[in-house]
Amino acid sequence: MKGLKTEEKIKLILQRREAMIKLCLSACVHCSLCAESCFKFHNHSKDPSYMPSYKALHSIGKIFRKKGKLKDEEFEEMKDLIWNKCVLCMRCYCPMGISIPLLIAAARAVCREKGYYRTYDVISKRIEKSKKVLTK
Amino acid sequence: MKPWICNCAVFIFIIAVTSAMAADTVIIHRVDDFITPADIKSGISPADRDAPRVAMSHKSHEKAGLECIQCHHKENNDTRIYQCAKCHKGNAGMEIMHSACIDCHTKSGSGPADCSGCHSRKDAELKGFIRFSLFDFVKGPGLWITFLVFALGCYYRVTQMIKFTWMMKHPTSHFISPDLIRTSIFYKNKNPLMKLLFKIKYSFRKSVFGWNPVMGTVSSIFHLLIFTAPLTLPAHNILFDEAFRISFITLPEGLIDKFVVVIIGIMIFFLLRRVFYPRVRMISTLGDFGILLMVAVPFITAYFAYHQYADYRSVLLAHIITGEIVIMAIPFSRLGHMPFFLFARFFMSSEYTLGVGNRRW
Repeated sequence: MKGLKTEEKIKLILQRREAMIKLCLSACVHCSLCAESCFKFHNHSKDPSYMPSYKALHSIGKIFRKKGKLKDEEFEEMKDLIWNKCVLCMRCYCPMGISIPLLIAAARAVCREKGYYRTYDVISKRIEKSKKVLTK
Repeated sequence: MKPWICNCAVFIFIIAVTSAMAADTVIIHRVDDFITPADIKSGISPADRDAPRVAMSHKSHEKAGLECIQCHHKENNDTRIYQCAKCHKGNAGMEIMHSACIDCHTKSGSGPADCSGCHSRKDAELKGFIRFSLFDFVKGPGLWITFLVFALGCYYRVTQMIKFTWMMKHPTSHFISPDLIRTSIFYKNKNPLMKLLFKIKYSFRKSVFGWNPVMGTVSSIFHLLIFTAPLTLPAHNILFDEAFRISFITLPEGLIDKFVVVIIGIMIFFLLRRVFYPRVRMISTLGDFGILLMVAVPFITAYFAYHQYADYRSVLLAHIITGEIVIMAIPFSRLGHMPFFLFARFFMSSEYTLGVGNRRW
């Protein structure tokens, strides 16, 4: 992997898991039954954007369809989706047997190559907000 | 062009073509067509004469005011769809068929009464050739192709899936919520049967039925009916018997008609859910609606055919062709959850499955 350009790395990542991702994406019937198995979904007053299938389809689904050629804004949106809205606890259950964590892990791998990953040392806006609330 | 647009276009084109080509003319089977070696042993002799097949129009007979029961008798033939030649075989069958047609023709003074009037090769070949050969094709080789594609496709998909999963050395044990243990009368009981009941109750409660009872029940009923209705319909079993020499238990047609109404009703529920329920709408694509329509068409045409709304034969042809397309599409589209169902419910390791599950992605 070393010495390759970002684009090529992404292509390699996608190629290696192509059959798997293809099978998973083609098997998804968009039934939304996975929603209740996600604890993040429950904790955020059942916000549909926390649904496992939504997270998978709008990250790896998008990347796979456009073969990794996405705009920076789209990656920025995806970053929130797969790093903050999912913790990869592997507890989500798909009635069709799709492994959603694997899809999100693949999306994370692509995003990491692109330079979008969780930044621990930078105080996020959310923490700043909560600090303000606490100090009031 | 996107693949689903292509699929939909082909699908609509086929329906249009078949409904345009279908006619009410049937080619009557020869009385010798169904004779088996066992029949010859039991003394049935093949017909002496070998005339061309007869092309018979149902519509022209209906216009003349005839009712079904005047030709298709009702005893042991409730659905009146058995072919005459299946029972009335050989020489005796020829006599029965001839007397049924010619007597009526001479009595009413309309319709041909001489041999060539009905047994005209030209008539049978020209009138019904394109139309009937298509019908014959979808009923015969079409069915074989359909099931072959379906079986091979499922085999391919399941092997593909197995390749991506592996057996677990230490299956994860299910975590049982302490609340559930405290409240369950089954669990406290020492009786092994009660323990088993607890296990069943527990696995149901943590599955789809527990967290989304409405959707769980509706979709279970839907999937159960979508299998029982076509497999237990008497007319389908006659076709199975003709093509593969197998048949299943049959249920009365009136009941299956009600099943079909329920299936169509649930499909409308799925459609409304997809349109108005935000969490489903967010991930819906046009392909989802396409698949829903694709599965709905065979059932809608089945309903139309049973109640004889619109032109019966074209509806029936559309029904057979769309049904075959759907069966062939199962392994290659989203309907692929049919072969994956067992894996997802019982073999995959997850805390929400019904079975224990010892495979992992």
